[in-house]
Amino acid sequence: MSDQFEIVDETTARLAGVGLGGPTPGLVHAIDTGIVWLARIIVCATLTALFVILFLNVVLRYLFASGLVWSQEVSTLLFPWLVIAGAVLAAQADKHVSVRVLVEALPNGVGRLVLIGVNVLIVLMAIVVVDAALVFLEASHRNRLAVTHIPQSYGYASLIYGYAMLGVTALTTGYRQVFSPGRPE
Amino acid sequence: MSPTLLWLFPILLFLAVPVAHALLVAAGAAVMLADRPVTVVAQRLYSPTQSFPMLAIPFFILAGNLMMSGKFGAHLIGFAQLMVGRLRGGLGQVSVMGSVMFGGVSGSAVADASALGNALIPVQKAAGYPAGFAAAINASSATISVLIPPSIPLILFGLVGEVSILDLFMAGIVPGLLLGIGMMGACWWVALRQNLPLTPYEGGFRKFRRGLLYALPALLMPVFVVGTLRFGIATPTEVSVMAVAYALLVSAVVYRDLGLGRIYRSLISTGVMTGAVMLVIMASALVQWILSREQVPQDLAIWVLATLREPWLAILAINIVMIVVGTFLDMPAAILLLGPIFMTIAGSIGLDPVQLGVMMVINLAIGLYTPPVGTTLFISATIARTSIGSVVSSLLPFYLVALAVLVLISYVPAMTITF
Repeated sequence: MSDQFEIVDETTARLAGVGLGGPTPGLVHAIDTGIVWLARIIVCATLTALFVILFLNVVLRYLFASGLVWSQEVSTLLFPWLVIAGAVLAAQADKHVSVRVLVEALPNGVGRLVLIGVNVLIVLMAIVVVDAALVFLEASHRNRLAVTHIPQSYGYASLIYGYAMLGVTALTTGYRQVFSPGRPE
Repeated sequence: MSPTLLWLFPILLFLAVPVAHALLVAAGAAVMLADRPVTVVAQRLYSPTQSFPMLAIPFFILAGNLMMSGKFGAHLIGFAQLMVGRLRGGLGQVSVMGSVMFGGVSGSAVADASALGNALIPVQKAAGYPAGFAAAINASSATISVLIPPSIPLILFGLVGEVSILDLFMAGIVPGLLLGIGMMGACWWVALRQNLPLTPYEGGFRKFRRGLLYALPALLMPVFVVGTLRFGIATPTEVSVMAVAYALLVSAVVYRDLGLGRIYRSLISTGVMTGAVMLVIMASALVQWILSREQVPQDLAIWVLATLREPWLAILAINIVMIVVGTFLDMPAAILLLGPIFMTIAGSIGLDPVQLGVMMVINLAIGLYTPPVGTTLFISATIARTSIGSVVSSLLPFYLVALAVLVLISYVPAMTITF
């Protein structure tokens, strides 16, 4: 009954950096450790805060016929941070679904090359999304939420953080594919 | 834009680009090649995270994680064993019964496949069940959980198709139970043919009563979810938050196994699962924007009606497309991409959207245990330490059951009745 513990263990296993070679294994390990811990902190903080806010709101609404007027606004600010930090953790734990039938059918070296190419593509994609999100953020930096007056850019910033981290994770994954022995990750 | 999307996405998918990224790269390329402002990409990616009902997804996942990581899970399996363990093929039927009951707390087939598989496949193998058969039972029966409320895929379909989530939850119950009964029958039939051993029943009524008491908090969960929605007491998001509170309360007071370590691991696990699902949803939002801007669903509906003419043929075509797509694409992506298209077709042939939603989930659930990309299939084969081939050959009776239920749901509207 401990399947979900495996996910935490898997991110930890990657951080152990078993068999990692190349010129900068220490740096890659440190980067992955930093990414994982930051994402774990964001996931725990946002999920806990969202639960407390929404639960309080339910209790207030049904027991006292009142409510937290700001709860929906704050929830929609926190939710993107939860999602994107979870997506970064999923990338670190290799939990994003992909179709590997073709790559696994290829000879080892060719399969590894394809996977390295995939990571290069993800880095390029991340650069484009971060760039687009920056423009989006600048264009909307004066927009504030109606009740709390919090700038909406606080939520949009999650896209920049998330895709930057997904891009860096693709870089470190690519590094591991180039310098780790055996089958590609 | 859509032609670029349609040829680039499958290529990226088969080159092992993760589904979420393949969707985003293909749709992003389509936007840029059409000289649209690139900010559209950021805007559309961000939009699903602003949907308040989407918040139900992480909280139902969290409630399931909290329940299944503690003694809850062990008690449920124990109770299932008391109920059906002594029948012919009983250990296999425990898997099926367990999936029906786990479905009421988790709503995720993948979570169920690994939780039940880790607990039951080794026991089944030790009792003499062939590894391929043990994995086949687990891979197929775990998918029942996406039909028993709460169900993440049904929530997604409700949001994308603007269909009542309550109606979808209620409509999923009968097909979910039918699948359960059918798969238990399949276990019985295979066990009889292969002369698999019987599992003795020990403990009598007293043990049964004790097992029922321990399992009751978990068994009440779907009743609580549907009940609160049915009587308009709360919205799906509020119910999901109350489900988490319920899981915490039961763990702390009834089972007394709630610790900070378990809460932390459940939070992280929920974050990972939410991130993986939502990233696909975010990328699908951009794809949907392109498709609806170019009126692809409407054009396809017109084409289907002009070509197939008869509603029963259109329903058959919808099913075939969904089964084929489901073998390659995971559930959230398939629901978000095909949902709007099939909703338009359903509207023009008079097919009830609730019925379509349940049909879609059953189809895509079959894809979960069908190669080349079958998540519950891969998980079960790994746990059973056997080849995918041996699992697939043992899956035949389970495919037949699922297809029979699918035909019933597709052509008998009363099967997806809401109350």
